[in-house]
Amino acid sequence: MNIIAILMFIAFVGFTLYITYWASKKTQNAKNFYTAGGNITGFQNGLAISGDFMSAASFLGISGLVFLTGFDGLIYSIGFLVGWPIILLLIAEPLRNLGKFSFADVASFRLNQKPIRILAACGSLFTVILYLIAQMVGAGKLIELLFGLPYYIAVMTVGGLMVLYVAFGGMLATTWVQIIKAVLLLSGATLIAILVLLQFDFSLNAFFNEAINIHPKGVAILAPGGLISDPISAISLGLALMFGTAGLPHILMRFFTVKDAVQARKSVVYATGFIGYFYILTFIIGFGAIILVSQNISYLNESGNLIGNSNMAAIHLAHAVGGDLLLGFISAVAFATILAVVSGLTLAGASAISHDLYANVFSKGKFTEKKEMQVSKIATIVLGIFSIFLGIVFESQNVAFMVGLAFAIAASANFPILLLSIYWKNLTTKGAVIGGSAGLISAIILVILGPVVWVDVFNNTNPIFPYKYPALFSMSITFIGIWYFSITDKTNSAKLVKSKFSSQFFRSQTGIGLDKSVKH
Amino acid sequence: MLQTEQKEYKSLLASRKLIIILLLLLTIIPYFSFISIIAFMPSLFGQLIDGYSLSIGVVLGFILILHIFFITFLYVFFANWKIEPMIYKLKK
Repeated sequence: MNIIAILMFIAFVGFTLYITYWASKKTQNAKNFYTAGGNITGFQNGLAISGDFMSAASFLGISGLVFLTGFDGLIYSIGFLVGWPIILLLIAEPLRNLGKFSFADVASFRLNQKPIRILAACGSLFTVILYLIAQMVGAGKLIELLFGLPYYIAVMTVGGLMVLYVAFGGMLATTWVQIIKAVLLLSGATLIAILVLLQFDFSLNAFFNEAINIHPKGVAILAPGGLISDPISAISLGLALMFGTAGLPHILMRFFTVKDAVQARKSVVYATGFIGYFYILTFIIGFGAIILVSQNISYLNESGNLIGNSNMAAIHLAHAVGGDLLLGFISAVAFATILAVVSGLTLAGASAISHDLYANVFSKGKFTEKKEMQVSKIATIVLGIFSIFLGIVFESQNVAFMVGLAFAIAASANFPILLLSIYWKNLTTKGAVIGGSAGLISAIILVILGPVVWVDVFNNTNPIFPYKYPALFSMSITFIGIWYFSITDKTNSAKLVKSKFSSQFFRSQTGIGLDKSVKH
Repeated sequence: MLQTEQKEYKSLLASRKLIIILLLLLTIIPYFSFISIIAFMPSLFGQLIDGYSLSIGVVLGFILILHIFFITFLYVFFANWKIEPMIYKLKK
């Protein structure tokens, strides 16, 4: 038990609940609920986006991965980061210029509403739920360790708070919770890194030299290790990380919170800067833990492993360099991080259900804004319960890998549909639906048959599909499927969809026509 | 005349296409080179730089992080300087 951690955490929860209360009075209509009224600035949105990205999986998972494998942790960091230029160059501005609340707005801009919305909502929900599992597991472990609460109570606490933020405060509360947490996390991680490097007079050379001397693998920790051992896995993981970011619904949703395309592109630069800086910090933190934590028996259990697991490397390091005070601060920040990220995810999931599935598909156009918002609140509660349940089921999985799976689905279903609906004139509804579903289903099946689920979860000895990362295969299936079923589609509706392309493209490139409401 | 036939619109598309393709290549090629070296020649990245306890892979990894940020910065600089005035003209 750490009193400082508990006090800081209570302060954070109290303050964010106050923000939620303030936001709830402003969140009376759908525009405010989904997009915080569209008045977030580029800088604020950059911080909020980086907050979505600097999740528990990133902070604890990647610093833990660096602690265990050294260089290999950097492969994930760079992969997560390289998705940002892709979003900026291909997606951000057209998304802002065409969409209203969700990326499905863009995909269904000229394609048939119903099938595209259903598919986009499925893609969003799978991505969001996988991501949620990873966050929930991290939360449960962390709180179990720091507060001595049983794992399931910890997971339920997180689930309960996130439902409160989202259901009452909508995007406005979620964004501000995210911004506050991003500032806290960046400051905390910076402080740990400075305190670690201070011991080496800020000489990176001396720092890495010490890590090589201490780690049993020696100089090999600065070299690529076992994370990627064959070319297929390398390319497949690379594709998933690079294009997955551009298909994450909770990230894409953030581009609707800014005023226009100019602010949208600004937010990406700020976000990339913060995230890149953060990954450099996690690398230093991981190596710092090798030096200061791995040899200190007070952080190890009887079998010589870290108390908790490798994901606790950053937390133990905070204690090693800053005592109970920094441990308390970092623990509270890590908990805040999880809360903020799960809230963003839940909001994206709930809006897929209420805006895409309910309002635009099942209500058959007969919905009121009030009813749509009620549905989104119910969806928030259902998602909360569902993610608590899954968090408990997946207790023993490595959180960084779970996020990898979410990326594969985002890259194989959401991203291709979004990209081609913006840029490819000959895309038809049939092509998008068949190709997109094939990609979504194959990504899921390949993950289930692969080593991560078939062997690690179902306890079979050999995987049916040999690769951990399916993106190379599932993305190919998506693009080939979309291409083939679009060019062979000769129906009248296909002609109609194609004829709408040039005016859609004009709007996506210029933003002209944005003030007029999007027709559904 | 249709909006999409205007000369200003066409030159907007042309300049944007040029910068986007250029910056995409500058993103994808270094990244996949990095990943490919990890897959095909991992020992190259493991080599220490003479006289330092830093491997080539770690140094290039850090440089790649800075490079990625620089790409986003370049695009925004270009878009605000070139693209926005063109869109402004079209709006009038």
